[in-house]
Amino acid sequence: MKPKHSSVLDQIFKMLTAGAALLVLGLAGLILYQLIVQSWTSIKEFGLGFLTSDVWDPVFNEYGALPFIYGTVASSLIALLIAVPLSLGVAIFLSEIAPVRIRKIVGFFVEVLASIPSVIYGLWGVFVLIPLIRRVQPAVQSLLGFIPLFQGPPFGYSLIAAGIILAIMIIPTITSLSRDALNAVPNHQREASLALGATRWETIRRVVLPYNKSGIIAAVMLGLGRALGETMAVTMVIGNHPQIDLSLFMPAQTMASLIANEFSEATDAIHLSALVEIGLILFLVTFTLNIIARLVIKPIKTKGVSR
Amino acid sequence: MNFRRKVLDKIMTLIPLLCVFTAIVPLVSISGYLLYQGISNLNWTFLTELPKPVGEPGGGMANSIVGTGIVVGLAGLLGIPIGILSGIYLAEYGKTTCLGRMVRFLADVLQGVPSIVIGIVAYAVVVVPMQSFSAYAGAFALAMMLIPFLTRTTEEALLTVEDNIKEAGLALGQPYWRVVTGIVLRAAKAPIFTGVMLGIARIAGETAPLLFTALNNRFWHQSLKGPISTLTVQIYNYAISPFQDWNEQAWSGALVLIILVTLLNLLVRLSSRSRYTQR
Amino acid sequence: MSEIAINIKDLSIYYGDFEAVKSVTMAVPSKSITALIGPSGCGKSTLLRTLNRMNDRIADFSVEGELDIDGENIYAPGVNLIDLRKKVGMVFQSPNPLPMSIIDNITWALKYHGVRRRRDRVEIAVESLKKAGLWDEVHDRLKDPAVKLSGGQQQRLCIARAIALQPKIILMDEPTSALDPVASRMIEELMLSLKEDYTVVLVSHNMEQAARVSDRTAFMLLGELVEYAPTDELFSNPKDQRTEDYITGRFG
Repeated sequence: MKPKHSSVLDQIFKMLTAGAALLVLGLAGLILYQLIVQSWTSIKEFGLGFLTSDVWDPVFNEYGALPFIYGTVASSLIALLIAVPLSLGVAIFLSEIAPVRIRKIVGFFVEVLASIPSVIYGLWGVFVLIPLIRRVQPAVQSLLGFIPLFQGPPFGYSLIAAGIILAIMIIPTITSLSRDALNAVPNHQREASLALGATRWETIRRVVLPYNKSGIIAAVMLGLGRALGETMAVTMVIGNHPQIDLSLFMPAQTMASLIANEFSEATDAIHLSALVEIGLILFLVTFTLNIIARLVIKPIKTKGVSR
Repeated sequence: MNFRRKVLDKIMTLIPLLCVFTAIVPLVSISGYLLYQGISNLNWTFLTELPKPVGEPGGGMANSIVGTGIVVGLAGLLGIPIGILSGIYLAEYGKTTCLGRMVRFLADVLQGVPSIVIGIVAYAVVVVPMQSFSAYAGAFALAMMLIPFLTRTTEEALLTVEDNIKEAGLALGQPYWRVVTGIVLRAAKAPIFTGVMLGIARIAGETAPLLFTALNNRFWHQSLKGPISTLTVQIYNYAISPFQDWNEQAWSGALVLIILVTLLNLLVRLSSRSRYTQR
Repeated sequence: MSEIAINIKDLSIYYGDFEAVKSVTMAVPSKSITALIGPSGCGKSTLLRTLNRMNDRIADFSVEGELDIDGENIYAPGVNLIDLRKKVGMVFQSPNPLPMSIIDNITWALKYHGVRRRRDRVEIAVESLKKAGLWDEVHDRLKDPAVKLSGGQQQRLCIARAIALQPKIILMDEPTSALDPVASRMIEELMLSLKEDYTVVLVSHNMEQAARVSDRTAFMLLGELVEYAPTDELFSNPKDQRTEDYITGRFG
């Protein structure tokens, strides 16, 4: 015998909260639905060629996503190359080296970095970073100018500028998640290693880092996800030039910055549809990346605790 | 222990420290420029006047500051109740249910959706049917970003409430809804408030979702159904413009924005704990 | 012979397949203190919580048998839990004041139970605080947060909160185990005064406490009700060997 009891108000309240939860579910559905529906014209018109064509011509209504896929991937990769080692360094410092008080101060600074609005990063990028790049570029080119990677006039607005700004913006994300991953390593692992005669660095390298490798990988993935979707700071420094060029110093364009630039002025239905399709691609890539990263993180949280 | 290992250890202790300094440099630079460049134009005129016509120096960002307040306020009106209610669902009813698990997962993942994409969706859902850019559209976009965040922060806040005071409520013959609203919510008041403040601070700093929803306006908005100026969009427009006067005003606008965000964050730290919960 | 407040007939309690309490039959007389003792895991707390259906919260909980309070089986379908818990109040092991002021702790539940005017609620609260022996210590700071009180004071507040609803029965689940000896003594004295108006069922981790305050004592072991007798008899002349082993400290 297992009787239950629930008043009417109890049910109403429960349904109210469940309804709100359903709205969250609905949000995800709404996003996917709208992106597909609004880009359908473009999908039908250009098909899979959309992904491989490098022509983006609003005048003749020919659209291809390749330059922007390139710009997005390239700028994000540059950002990762810069941010991952730096973030890991900061995370190691916070988790393994710093005394408690310094931990709090540095942690605070990382949080502040994380809360700066994107447009302010962009502002700083335009008036501080770009002139800096313009000034440094000739010097770099005198040394390495024979490599195509470093060729081109000193526009300042460039792929590398976007990469640098993105790196600064994703450092807080990767740092705090990596720090959590490192903190989850139980102390007795470290103590055992030190007791066996290893130095602190050896302990970090051989015991702590490998222990929660997947946590760090997830941190990097989430940082990558953020970089891929970042709009304002990128659009302000990347030059918004829809072409693929091997040089870091040449202007480029990312998917997000393209949408930011053209959406409010696009008048042709096909133009808008193509832009939405770009948004759809961006959404699918970041969505998938986030899902994979979260699936990796979940076992981590339980792993740390069960020991 | 041999010499080589010792040296390596010392070097590898310094390198993380170097990383920290490298990461802090941009922060120092940005803060410095914000203060230095922003202060010069930050005066009463700036805070209370409308932008001047193109080419004319002077003017201010009064409409942008108010506009941000309005759009963020509207977004909060829509997003805060939904976010908190769904957070309550996750913590009190949906710990193990199918809906609960899906919403919890999606709320996390949705926070990673690029804000420009959110702008596209808001455009399709609000701007197109209304045939106009509007404060409502901008607020809808920002609310879409606020809801998943608040859902999770509210859930985490409620999960910190100890079970034994819930039992106290039930043993006093109270229905579950009253236990949740009267006791659990009250006990978790402070962390819920923190979540709300942090969420508001975040959306106040967003630009991309407003670019083609609220658009911009060089004057006071005529109505909420029309385009409205916001601080972030105005900063963006002024920053990329060729006029030096506007560039300088962009810095001042940025300073105002960062002060607003900082104030919100400070509010959070000051109200960190409720008097009525166990220490 | 005094009335029976609670009549338990062949009650078995299950968590899924696990039988936590095995076919207990006992009658609790009203306006007295009945203690449940036994080693941890014997099922005494489980049995206690069945009396106000707090166990309903647990996922795979179920009962067999009958549990009558005031002549009605509280596990019959359609029983109103709100009314039941008004009749049967509970005080918990760890004092759990609500996150409100001292006075609100007591008036909050009253509002839902139909005491409309604030003035009436406050009056009842004051009475309850006096009965619980807490009035003198808090009368000048009723609006202070309840968490500012000491452990013993908080527990007395919880008792005041329970008696404000004018229950017939008060359940106490190891009410002094989190308190220091002085505070514990106060609660025990309070219990003795409470039995004039209420039926008290007490789960005690402490045999001596049970011996001091209760009129009847039930000894449980591994879910079984081993022996149930007037307290003096049980402690001086136990009929079951297991009871004797327990009270002489051979286990538990």
